[in-house]
Amino acid sequence: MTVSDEEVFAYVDGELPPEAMARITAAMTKDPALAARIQAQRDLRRLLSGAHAGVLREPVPPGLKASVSAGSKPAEVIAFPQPKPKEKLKDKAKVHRPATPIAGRPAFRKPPAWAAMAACLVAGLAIGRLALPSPPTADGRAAEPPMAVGPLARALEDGASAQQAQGPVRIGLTFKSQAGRWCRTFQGQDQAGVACRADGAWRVLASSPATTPPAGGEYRQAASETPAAVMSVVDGMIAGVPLDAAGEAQALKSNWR
Amino acid sequence: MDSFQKDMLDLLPRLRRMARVLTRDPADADDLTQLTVERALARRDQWREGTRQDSWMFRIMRNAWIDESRSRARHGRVLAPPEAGAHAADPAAPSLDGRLALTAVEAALEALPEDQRIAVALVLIEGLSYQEAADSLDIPMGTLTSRLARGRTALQAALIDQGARP
Repeated sequence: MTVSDEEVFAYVDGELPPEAMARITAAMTKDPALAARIQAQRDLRRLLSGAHAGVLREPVPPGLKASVSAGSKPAEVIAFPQPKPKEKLKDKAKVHRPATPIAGRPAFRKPPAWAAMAACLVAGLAIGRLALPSPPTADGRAAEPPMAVGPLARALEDGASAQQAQGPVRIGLTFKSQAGRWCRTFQGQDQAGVACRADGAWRVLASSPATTPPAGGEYRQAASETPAAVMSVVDGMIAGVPLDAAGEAQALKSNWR
Repeated sequence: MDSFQKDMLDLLPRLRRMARVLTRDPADADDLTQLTVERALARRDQWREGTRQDSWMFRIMRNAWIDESRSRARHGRVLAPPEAGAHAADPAAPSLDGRLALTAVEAALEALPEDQRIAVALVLIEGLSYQEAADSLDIPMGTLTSRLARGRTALQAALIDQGARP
């Protein structure tokens, strides 16, 4: 009987239906060439199962262990209502809300609750006074998300992402949202988040406690410096891919037009 | 710490191993493991009790790695200072010693294209079933088995070349 390579692989991996397994086991006894092919695959499997086995015996870096236990307290992400696009042009791209509640705090997404949350955020940002909530509108509709002020506003408006560790706020990714707005991730002393530009101002759409960069002067990638919870919000609203250096410089130069 | 986190703690050595296969660099591997843990914790409500936490986390890791690779390619300046980028681009630089210490099969694995490398790692190192591996990679089972077959053939050829096959 002819046994294809794929069947030999699946046999060695235990992935054939029982009858086929039995058939090949029987054929092997009469077919030394087949037996040799199967043995070679078993040897390869055995070799591979030992690949990088050393890492299994190494002690896990304490920082990694700590980040697992740190998860006991889910990172708080405050998702603010997004500004409604006003122009017709922007209406064709619908405003995208993150598909799932972030960090399992659906209550935060109910409009009446957000203003209070914004107040908490501002309390959290007390040192830098990075963002100001806009007051809820008289008719009870959720107002626009808090507006970036002070150093945050300056960093968002004029900062290039290359300016590492300069000033209180660092800029991470710059991208277009699905609603056609310019958005940037930022990292402050103790808050990180994402803000989008609307009508000449930057509005903080979501923020979360900043992750602390590891000590020891090791460089840390901007993407991973952004808390995972904020990255999830970015994932949910980004159109295409983040700008590269040249694209970002261009957007800065054109004053976000 | 709850059982979800305890299980994750137990998985860390295997996550680090998978990350080494993906990144081919021990330091990058631990960064990727860190990112995977952060994402998994942030998305733990998406994990269904009774399903395998290891293949769920391998899936998160693989997606995190794709994001990282893309960001690096398109956004290198933000993700790494130039000197680190230049360093990373030189395959001989990271750790010559580490490289010499690789076993023949590890070296052969490193030489595989990424698609095949991941398929081989999930099934032949981590022991996932074809179905679990295909699900982790969001690919049909036929695609998985064909990547696995090509990876195996290439590995075997490489090992014969090195005279390392037993």
